Amino acid sequence: MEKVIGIDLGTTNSCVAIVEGGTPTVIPNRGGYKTTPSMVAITEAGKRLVGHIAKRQAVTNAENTVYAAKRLIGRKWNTTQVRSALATCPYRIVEGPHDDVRIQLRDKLYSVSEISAMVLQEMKIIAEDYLGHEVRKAVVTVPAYFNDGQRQATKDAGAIAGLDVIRIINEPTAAALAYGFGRNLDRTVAVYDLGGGTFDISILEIGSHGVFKVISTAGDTFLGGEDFDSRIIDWLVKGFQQEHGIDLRQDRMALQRLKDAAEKAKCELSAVRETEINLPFIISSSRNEALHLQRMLSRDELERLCNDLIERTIKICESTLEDSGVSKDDIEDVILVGGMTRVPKVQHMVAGFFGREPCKGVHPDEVVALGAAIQGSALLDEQQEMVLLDVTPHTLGIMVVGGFFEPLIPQNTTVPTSSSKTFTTVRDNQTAVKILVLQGESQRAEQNELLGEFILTDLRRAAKGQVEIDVTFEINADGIVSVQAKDLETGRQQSITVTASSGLTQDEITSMIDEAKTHAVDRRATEAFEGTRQEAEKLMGDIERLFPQVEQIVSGSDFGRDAIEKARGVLDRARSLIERKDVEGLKEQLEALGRTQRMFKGVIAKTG
Amino acid sequence: MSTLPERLEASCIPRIRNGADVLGADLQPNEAFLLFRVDGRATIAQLATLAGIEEEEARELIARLASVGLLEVELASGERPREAPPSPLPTEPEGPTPLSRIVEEVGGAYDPGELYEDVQIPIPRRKQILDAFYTFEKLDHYEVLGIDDSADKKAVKSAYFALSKTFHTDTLYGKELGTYKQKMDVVFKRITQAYNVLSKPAMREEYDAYLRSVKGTRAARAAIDAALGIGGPQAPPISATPKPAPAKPSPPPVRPAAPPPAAAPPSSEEARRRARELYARKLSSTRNAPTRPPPSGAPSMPPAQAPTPPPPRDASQVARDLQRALVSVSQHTGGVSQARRLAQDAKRAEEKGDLVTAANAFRLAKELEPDDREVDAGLQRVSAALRVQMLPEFEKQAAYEERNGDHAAAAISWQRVAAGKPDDPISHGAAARCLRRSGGELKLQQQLARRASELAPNDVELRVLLGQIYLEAEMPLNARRELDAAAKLDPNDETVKKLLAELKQKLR
Repeated sequence: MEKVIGIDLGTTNSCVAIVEGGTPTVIPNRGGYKTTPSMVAITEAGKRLVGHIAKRQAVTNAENTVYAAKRLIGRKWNTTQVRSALATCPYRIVEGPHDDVRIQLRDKLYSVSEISAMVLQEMKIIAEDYLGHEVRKAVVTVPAYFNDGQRQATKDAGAIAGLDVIRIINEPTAAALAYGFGRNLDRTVAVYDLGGGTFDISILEIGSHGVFKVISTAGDTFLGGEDFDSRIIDWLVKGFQQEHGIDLRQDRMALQRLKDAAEKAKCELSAVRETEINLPFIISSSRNEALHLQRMLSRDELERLCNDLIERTIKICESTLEDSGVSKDDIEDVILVGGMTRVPKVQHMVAGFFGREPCKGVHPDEVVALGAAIQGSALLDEQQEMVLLDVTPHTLGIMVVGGFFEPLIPQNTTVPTSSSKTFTTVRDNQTAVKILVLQGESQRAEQNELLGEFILTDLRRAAKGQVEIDVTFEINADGIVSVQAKDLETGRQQSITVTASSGLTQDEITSMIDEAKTHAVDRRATEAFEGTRQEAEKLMGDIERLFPQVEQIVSGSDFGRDAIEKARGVLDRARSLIERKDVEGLKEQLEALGRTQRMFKGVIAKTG
Repeated sequence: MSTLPERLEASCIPRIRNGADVLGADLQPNEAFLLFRVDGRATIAQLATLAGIEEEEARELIARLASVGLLEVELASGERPREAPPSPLPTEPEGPTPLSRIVEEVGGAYDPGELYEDVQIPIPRRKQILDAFYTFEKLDHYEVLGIDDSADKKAVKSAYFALSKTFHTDTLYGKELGTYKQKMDVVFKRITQAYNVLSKPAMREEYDAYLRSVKGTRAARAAIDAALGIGGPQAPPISATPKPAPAKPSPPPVRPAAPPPAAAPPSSEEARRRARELYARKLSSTRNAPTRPPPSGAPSMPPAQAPTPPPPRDASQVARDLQRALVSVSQHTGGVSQARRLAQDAKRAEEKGDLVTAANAFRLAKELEPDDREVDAGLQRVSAALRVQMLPEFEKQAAYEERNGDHAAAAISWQRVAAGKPDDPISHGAAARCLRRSGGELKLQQQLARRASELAPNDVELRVLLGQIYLEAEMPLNARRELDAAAKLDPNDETVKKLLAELKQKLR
């Protein structure tokens, strides 16, 4: 049987594993370490460095050393996440030709997939050195909450590295596979995965037949150890500013040293209660005298700095449990994954939330790669009696008239799956419809990710609403989405398979959505109220959920109290409109609801 | 040589056993009702039609009557088992039929082109996939997972997980799957749907209530639907499957060598039952512990008399014969007193509040004594009361079906509600709406919507609905009247404006 490796392509560290003789094993790198820093650097001589060797020279070559590329992979240039990376990263991030992100090292531009490919290639070489032969196939893990574009970009990275990525699986799922593999368990578990850059929570059922079923999954792709580090850096920079009046952020090398020191301090504080951060000759003053940074950081101080970050993860856990209909009592074990779960405060808060001590049996840094290797061998080895039933992490749907997003397959649906819905034309004598395939949780089409588009032409000329079009979505076990639209009258059909990220600029997408409005489709008239009601109720649910929190935050100010009153009014009005089945009124009210929901989310995001 | 029927097919012919004490037997009214229709010539299917009950019910009643020795059952001429070649083993052994035989007879016919497609799947696995693919749509969630309805959460999970290993395409990763890939995906989606409902206590409770309601009101539904003329002979499908896979499965193909099919095509209820039995058997043969008790449909029958195959007859001939048989039976057994007894039974049941039994007994009595006013009045009274009594159940069924997108079933349930609440605009409107969504008969849509609108003349939505139905029925003037009325009620309604504009264009 051909060997397949499992690669955990992490934000800060990566790990490779393989199943040998039925036992999953992590493969150490040449230095004997089981994990390799996900860092890439180009030296002055143009030499490419990956892993520990890249990390060691990062301080002296900060501008040409890339870390945490995973935070940028598959992202559009015009996003807040890229903006924030721009502000904190010592390496140069520039805009690419397709609204994508490029990284400049020395005088060359690299796509993020190319950078990740260098890390993957390193992992491939580690495995090949160990096995003594070539490896072609791999299972690569990604955060559960990665969208299609990010997954696709990761797959592209594999291809650039010369790997056939036979499956992309979710990190928490992989962790659960490693946890349950060969143990004949029958239980429901929660996987809390706080890594370097991302947070994921997954709830799984493990069956004694070797079946692993994901019940639900959620997360935040921009919440992880890096954020803890930046809190420490902020604290250091602020202190230094007060003491010396100098902003250390202006100096890329100083920033890189701060980053290293912050990470080191954070790790140390998992074991000790207090640590000293000592960075001599960090910068020169205007009078050209050397300044040193020397401060004591206590665990309590760190916990104070990062408390809200941990709180955020707990809140996501809470809403995931709620959405999945699983109660805390149903959870029979909690698995901690990711280096950040070594932080005592994280362990403490997770244990407090789930009401049980987390499982200590898995290695938080290695478990994901092991799981990936297990899934690889389960797919290729016929003797392997294991099957993973995964879910789609984001809602899939199409755009309907008015720029709304109409879901067809809701998030957390077990794949493979399919779903159909009938739509109608919106204009008289409309002979073509454009189907925009989108992924995301927003009610507004343009706020979701565009996966693809196609046009169904030659419709019968008829009054609007007369021609019916059946749209079918299918997701197969590989997670590949295919969409088909069919003119119910003539049977003519069009379909696409969403295989590549769209590679379109935001402007192109916006203009495409604008233009598509004239070719849009609509829900059937009878379903109009239902659709509007559902939209409204989803928004109302969000608002009601956030209400107590927001009220607490803003009730201190007159303005805040006023806003809360208004929000309450918006909710009441929506409720009465639903009661009266007033479609048009409700449609208008959607905007107010949407505004309130965004405002609430904004308040939470700013303070939490 | 007498032949033992393998199982009670719709084409089996029951007859009254020689010397059976028909009058002395302790019978339920519905059993007696059917028994009096048995003439030794009509098949079970025909008896069911004549008695106005579902085939499955007829089959169960016949089985019960046979088990107490009143009836014996023989195979119809067309359904005779293949002639056994002269051999030292002339007869089938009595007792339970071998499993393999049943599987072979009931659904074991695979389309060779499909079964032997050029794919890398072992043949037994292919059969499992095909069996599931062609039967799952007709089964309820418990039947799909092959579990008893008392199965606990662990058992539900265990059944689903075991089935996942058969039907998830990852278990055949890298193999050539051909058309099986799509079939496996469809089946997997169906078992997942069943699991999603049954594994969540709240959803399962809701579904159970629905199933209970559907099963518990079967007799009442039959009585009411026959009176109302709705729904046809088949019960609404129990599974709330929204929509089948994009490519609609063709009906199960029959192997060319198989015996000719029964004269009458099996009703959907029959198909459902067959599917269920077949699937239950398959599951218990693939797994060690059968989780479902063997179906009650195939008790062993006393051997039949050597039959002379009756010539094929048309339905009216059968009806005439039956009528004659009925009269003669009633003469011989004192039909009048029998009717009295039934009427008394009915009244007793009515007093006890058992309206279903009462309605059936009155129906039975009326058959025997059609001119008895007291019986007729009783029947009218009881069926009306029954309709009212069943209302909450039907309302629940309707709401559940509509919520789950099963509009065809919801349309029928709402009609039942409407019949029980003749002055209720909501149920009439809902029935019309669901009928429209499921593409039901326009005329009926129209009637229901019109009645609803009469009852609630100021409801804009009902006017619009009626207007839309008129539009579809090419009655633009009526549509205009409704839409104008709607516009008067609410001049700002966008839908009304749009429809009126559309209409004007049409009228021009």
